[in-house]
Amino acid sequence: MTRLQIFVALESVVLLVLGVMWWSRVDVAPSESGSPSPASLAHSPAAETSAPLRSDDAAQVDRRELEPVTSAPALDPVLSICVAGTVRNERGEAIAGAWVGFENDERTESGRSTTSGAYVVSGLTRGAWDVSASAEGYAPIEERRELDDRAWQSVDLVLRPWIALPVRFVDREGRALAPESLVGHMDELQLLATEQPLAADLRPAEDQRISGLSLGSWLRTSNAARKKSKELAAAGIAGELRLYREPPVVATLLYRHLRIAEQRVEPGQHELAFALDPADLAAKQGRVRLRLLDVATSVPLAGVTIRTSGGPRSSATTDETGHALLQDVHPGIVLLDAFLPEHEMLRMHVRVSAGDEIDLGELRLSRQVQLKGRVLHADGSPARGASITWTAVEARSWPAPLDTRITTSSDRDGRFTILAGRRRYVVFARSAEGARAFGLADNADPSFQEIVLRLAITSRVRLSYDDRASRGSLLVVESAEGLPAAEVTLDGARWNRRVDLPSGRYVAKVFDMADVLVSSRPFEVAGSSLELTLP
Amino acid sequence: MNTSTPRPKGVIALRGLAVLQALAIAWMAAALLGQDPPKSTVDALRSARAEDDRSDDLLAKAKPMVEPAPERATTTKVSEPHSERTPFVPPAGSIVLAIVRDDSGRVPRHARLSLRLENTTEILERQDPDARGVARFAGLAPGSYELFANCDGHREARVSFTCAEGTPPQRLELRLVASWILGVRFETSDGRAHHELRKEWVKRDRRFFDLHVSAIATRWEPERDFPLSSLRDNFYGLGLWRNFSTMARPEFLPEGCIEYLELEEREPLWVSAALRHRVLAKQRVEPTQSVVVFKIDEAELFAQLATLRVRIVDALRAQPVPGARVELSDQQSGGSGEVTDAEGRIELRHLRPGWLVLSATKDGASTSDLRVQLEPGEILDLGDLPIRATQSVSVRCEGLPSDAKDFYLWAIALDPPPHAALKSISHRAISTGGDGFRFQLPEGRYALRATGAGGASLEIDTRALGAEPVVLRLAPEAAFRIDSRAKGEAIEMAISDASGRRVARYVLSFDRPFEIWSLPGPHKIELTGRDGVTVVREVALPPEGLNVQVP
Repeated sequence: MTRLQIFVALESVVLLVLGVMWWSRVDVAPSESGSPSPASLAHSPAAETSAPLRSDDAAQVDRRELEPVTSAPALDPVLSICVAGTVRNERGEAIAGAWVGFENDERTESGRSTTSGAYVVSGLTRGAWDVSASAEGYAPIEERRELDDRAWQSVDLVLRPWIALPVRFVDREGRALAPESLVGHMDELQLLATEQPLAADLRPAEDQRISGLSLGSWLRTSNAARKKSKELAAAGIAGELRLYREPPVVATLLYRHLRIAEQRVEPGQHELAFALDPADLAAKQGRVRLRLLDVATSVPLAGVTIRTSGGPRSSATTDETGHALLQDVHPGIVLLDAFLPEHEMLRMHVRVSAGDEIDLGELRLSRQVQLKGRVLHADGSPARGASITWTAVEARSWPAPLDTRITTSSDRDGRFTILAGRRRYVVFARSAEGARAFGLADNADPSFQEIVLRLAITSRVRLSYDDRASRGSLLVVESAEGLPAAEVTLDGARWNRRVDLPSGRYVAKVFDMADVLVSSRPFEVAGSSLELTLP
Repeated sequence: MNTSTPRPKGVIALRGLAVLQALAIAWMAAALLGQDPPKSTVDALRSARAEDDRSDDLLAKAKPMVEPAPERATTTKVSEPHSERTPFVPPAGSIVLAIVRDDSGRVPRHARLSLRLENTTEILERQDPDARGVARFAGLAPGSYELFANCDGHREARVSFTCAEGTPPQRLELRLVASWILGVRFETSDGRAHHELRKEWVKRDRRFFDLHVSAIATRWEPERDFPLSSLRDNFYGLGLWRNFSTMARPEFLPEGCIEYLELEEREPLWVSAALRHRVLAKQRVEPTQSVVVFKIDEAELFAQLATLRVRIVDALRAQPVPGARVELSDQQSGGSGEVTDAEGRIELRHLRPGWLVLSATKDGASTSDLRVQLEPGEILDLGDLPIRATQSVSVRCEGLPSDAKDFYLWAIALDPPPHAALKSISHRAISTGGDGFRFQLPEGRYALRATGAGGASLEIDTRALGAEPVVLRLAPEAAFRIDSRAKGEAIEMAISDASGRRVARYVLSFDRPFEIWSLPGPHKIELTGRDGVTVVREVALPPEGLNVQVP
């Protein structure tokens, strides 16, 4: 045997030893063990959740426990890709209780940091994710991260503290306003921080949530934790503006959607004070006049109490002629509701202008009629526990909110019953898993039997629009048949940059602040996410 | 001599093999040692072995675990070119991922996971698993842990695990096994269900709102009533009793039932229909049964209800007090109470038997908190019940740690109540911040007792107190570590200290450990079994605590 042959033989032995060492360390890795790839997991979430665990899972655990300290276990069919990391502040201190969310077009997975700042999130797949984190005392962050296909990956996050500015409401002479003088208004006042002063009032909304526009958040003293609330109230503090960036910013005081006052916040400023006159706020409240009649007999419906939803309520009871006048109604969009023993319930949105009176005229209510329906899964099996909401089609002479704040759920056979009127309704169903369906129930037709809603997986429609140009606009998505499917206020908030829809043909209608239709664009959802550019 | 003789083809091939093997050895050695393989080696091997993600994992494996630096954060991207990927560096502490499945492999709805250190009772963390049935725990310190999963309709599932310094992420699995669901229906002899009749009952008297019959499962045939309790219903016995007011109707419930017993093992049992402690009916139930029906007529049920008469008097002037508000309820129910007539009298009817909490108040005067024992069907006249002016009593607890979580301060009246059916029960103090507490007590003598974060006891007379707060000096307490293995037996356990004062009373029906804290010293433990026989254990509670197994 030549020296070369001996050398090659020795090499072969060394290679064999190294090979054994190599495979003994990697044989828990993915792909060759038969585990589905991350990509295949992403496309079959249902199969994942319903598939029983394999019997060799336990064996995998044991093997992993024998691995060296820093080893990462293999991709798991249930856990998929896991991300672990820490949430810290700029000084490197751990932040406990921080919420960390990973969101893509298909789902959101989240975790919460422990006292050591450590968190772990599982169920992720390869690709881009929007990672957001928030914790008490810190400005929330949002970043786009790209995950590769390794089973375990690190994402550490750093949060910066928010700048908390106590806010006082004072009278014209600078004296603290007694909390009693603001009763009825306080819950509707809020502060908005922006880079530039607001050019106009905001778009009226029922739930005047403004955080999408703001460079911070507003905490009303009454909404703080009990102990803090007491401390703030005792110090005459009405609330706290929490800035997510360094001043200068412009702080605007809003009464619902109306601008009341604004001031510039300078760097180093520790407190804000706004001069307020409760009488000015009261003058911005409106009145709603209406008359309730039975639709068939035109008999006035007397003694019916009508209330406005949310916050401090306005209410009025109809007189013998069916008339009622609601006073001190907050400006903006309010939901009127009334329960009648034998008639359909009154539930409608109205727009109230500042200091104005609106006359709704005669509202004719029919006797209660059961509206029956059934919710089915995509495979035709009954969908139990689906959430059902509905809105009357006739009420939509303007882009009113779709949510009338009333809901029911389907029973074990997928059936539901709504005590409705002789009207046409759009009925929406949503399962706990996020599948949706909607359709028209023509309860005005005496031959109408029941509506069948077949749930379908939704696809994400990402909305692309210019925040500034679209401010005050409303997107209404209608089905090809003209049924409203979704509504989105185009204010730039993260949750207002998307809408999830079942497959089908739709029309995207954009209304300006005055509810004038400014654009209409058809589009189709065909089982995958898409981007919709709005004018 | 021709030196340029061509080499045989075999030699060339052998040399080529030697070079290739050398490259492979260099690459694998570098990978196993945690170094980047020489680029030329990688290139040479690329054709032989497709790019493999596992190389990254191997690189990560060989790196020491370090605390991640905070600077390495927000702006760096996780996914970078393949050769420059950020290795996985786990955060400090251990990671555990728990997967919950039911016995058919599905993700159970409404499961809840609780984590605690082994041999302790404090829950460190609770989590609801996500839609995939996964719960995630990070940053776990070294130690032995116990993770348990609970879910309606299923037995509790547990798993123990250990975290050591640098333990890699662990994957645990908890499998929930379906319980024996025994639907229970209470109906009249003509077949009308109690839960449907209740609306009519409540129209007759709002006190019927609390009229619940419970089902109690035992391995033996109950020969007497169950132990008394101040709670709304008795939850003794095996398994869990789910009545219709506690939850929405679950889908696993048998037809015709809205209430059920959730039992662990299928075994022959006795199921009793009980109005609080009173056994109204009992039945033998076989393991194959899914429903048990009790026939209890309205008349039979209402015959158990008691009536209480009392006259409220001013203790100072011995005059009747008209318009005094008298409240009578169990410890879980509330109520606005009823008002005495012009002669200070009141009659309260349709009262459930057992222990109820009684109080009377008028213009800042009140009784001390009292418990009244009502026998089934009894008409009890308490005679005169005095009310006294109340006063604020401030207490300072010296030595109370600022982070005390489970600290309790009670006052119990020492003056005997005016009727044998009455018993004084404890008033709870309100925290005024720091180590300060406040009671609002009717004039009289009281025993103060502190426990949970240092113990103390002291007798006071409110009439002799000055403006200064009463000072309780807290001393270290020791724990009775009770290991209850009652297995549904409903064993009454009372612990008293050397002065004969009651430290705690429990009816043990469950199987789990818990702690009772008291000052070290001699104690008496009384255990009363289902046969009514009481066994007394004289024990000394040492400073390091005492293990007590029951029975």
